[in-house]
Amino acid sequence: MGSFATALEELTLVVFTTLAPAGVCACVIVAVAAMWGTADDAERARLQHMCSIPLFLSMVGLVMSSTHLGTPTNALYVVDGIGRSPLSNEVAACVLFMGSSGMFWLYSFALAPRAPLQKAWTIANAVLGVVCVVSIALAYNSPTILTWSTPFTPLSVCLEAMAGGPLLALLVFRASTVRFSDVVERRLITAGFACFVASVVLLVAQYAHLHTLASGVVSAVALVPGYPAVLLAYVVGGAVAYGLTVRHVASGLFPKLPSFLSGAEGLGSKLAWSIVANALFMVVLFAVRFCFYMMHLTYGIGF
Amino acid sequence: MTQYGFYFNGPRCTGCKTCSMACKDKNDLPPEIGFRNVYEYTGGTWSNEGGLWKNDVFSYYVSLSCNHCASPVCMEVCPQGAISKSEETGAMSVDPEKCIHCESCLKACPYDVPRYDEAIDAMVRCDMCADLIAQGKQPVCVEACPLRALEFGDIEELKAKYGDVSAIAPMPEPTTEPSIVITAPINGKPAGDTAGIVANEREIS
Repeated sequence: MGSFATALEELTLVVFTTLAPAGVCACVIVAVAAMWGTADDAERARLQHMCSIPLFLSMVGLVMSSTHLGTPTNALYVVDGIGRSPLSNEVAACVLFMGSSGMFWLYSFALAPRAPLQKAWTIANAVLGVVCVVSIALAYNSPTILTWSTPFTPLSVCLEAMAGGPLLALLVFRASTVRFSDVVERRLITAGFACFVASVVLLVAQYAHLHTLASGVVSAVALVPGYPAVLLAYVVGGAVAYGLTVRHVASGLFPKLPSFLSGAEGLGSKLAWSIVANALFMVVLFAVRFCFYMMHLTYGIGF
Repeated sequence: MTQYGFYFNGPRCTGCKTCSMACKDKNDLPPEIGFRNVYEYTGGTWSNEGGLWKNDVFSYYVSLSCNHCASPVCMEVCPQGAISKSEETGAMSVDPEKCIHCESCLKACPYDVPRYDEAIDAMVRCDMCADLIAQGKQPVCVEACPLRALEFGDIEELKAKYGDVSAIAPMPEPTTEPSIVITAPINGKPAGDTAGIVANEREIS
C-alpha cells in the first residue's frame, strides 16, 4: 500500500489530530481568560458559553477518530490498556477532558454559578487539557516506528496545538463580543505566533531527519515526496492566518491606519476575518498532519 | 512458559511459496490476507573491470510469519488488551470480541504481520496452527514445505540445534526477540542491510 493510501485510510485521525489539540488549547485559554481576565459576570458567562466552539471542534475530532475503528462497540475495553498503551492513555485523557469541559460548559448556564467552584474547575480542566494534548502527542510513541518515535512527533503536536489554540481562542473572544485589552490580545497572538514559528522550525528539522531514516525496504523521505510543498503551504497559510488576526489588533495599536488595513470595520467583520484565519490555519495544518501519517514507517519490512 | 517458534533453513528454500499457499488453504484466507509470506530479497550490480565483467548480484528468499516475539510490541501497544500470548506455547492470538480494528498492532509490528479480516471485523494472524499442535501435529506450513526448509519446536531447542541468528535482510534487527532461528541462504545479507530490495512486493499479503 502506498503512503498516500496509508494516510487516506487514517483520514479521520488526521482530522482528529488537526482539530482536537488546538481545540483543547483554545478551551483552556478561554476558560482561564474568563475566570482571571477583566471580564465582568455577563462577559464571563458569554465567554464560557462560546467555549462550545472549540469544545465542539474537539469533539468532532474525537468522534471522527472513533469512526476509523472497525468495531467501536468494543471500545470500552480501552480502559484495559491505560498506563500500558499510549493509545489507551490518549483516549482516556481525551474523554476525561471533554467530559469535564462539557459539564463545565453546562454549569456555565446555571442561574447563579459559584465562582470559587468555577475557578477550581477551570484549574482542573486546564490540567486535564495539558494531559490531553500531551497524551495525543505521545500516542504515536512506539519504538518500532522509525519515523514517529522521535522527539519531533510529540513536540510538533504540542506546538501546533499552541499555534492553533490562540487563533481559536481569539475567535471565541470575537464571537462572545468580549474585548480584552490590546496588550492581552497582543501577548496571546505573540505567544501563538512564536509557537507557530517554532513548529515550522521543528517540521523542517523533522524533514531533514527523514533523510537519515530507512527500513529494509524503503527510505522515509520517499514516503512523503510532496513534503517541502506542504511545509511551504503551512508557512504561508499560518503566516497569513496570523496576519489576518493581527489586522484587528492593529486598530488599537495604530489608530491612524485606514480602516480597511486596521480591521476596524466593526465586530461582525472581525469575527468573519477570525473565522477565515482559523479555517485557513486548519487547512494547512490538516495537510501537515496528512503528511505525518504518510511518513509511517517501521524499521522492519512493512510497505 | 515454553516458547515455541520456527526454524527457517535459507539454503534449502527455493521460494516456491508452498508454505504460504498451504497456510492460506488451511485457514481459508482471502487473497489480501497472508499469515505467511515469502520475501524475495534481491540486489547487486555488474561492473566492468579491465574488460572483465564482475558481479555481486544476489537473490534469496525468506519465509516469514508472525514471529510470536518474546517481547511483542503489538501486545504492548494494543489499547484493548485484545492480544495475548499463550502460556503453553508462546503463540500470539487476538480476541475478536475485544479488537476494535484500530491497527495499532499493525502500525507497530516491525514484521508487518497483523491483518484485518473483514469477515470477523478484527485483526488476525498466524496462531502456529494451534489446533494442529494440540493434536501433536506440526503447523501446516512446516508440513507442506517440499524442501523441508521449515521446522517448528521449542525455540530454545531450535537455537541449540541451529544457532541463534534470528534475522537476516530484509528483516530488521531483532529488538522484539522474535521466536525464529535462521540459517542464512547463500549470499544472505545481515539484518538491516539496504543493498537489496524486496522484489516481490506485490506478492506480499
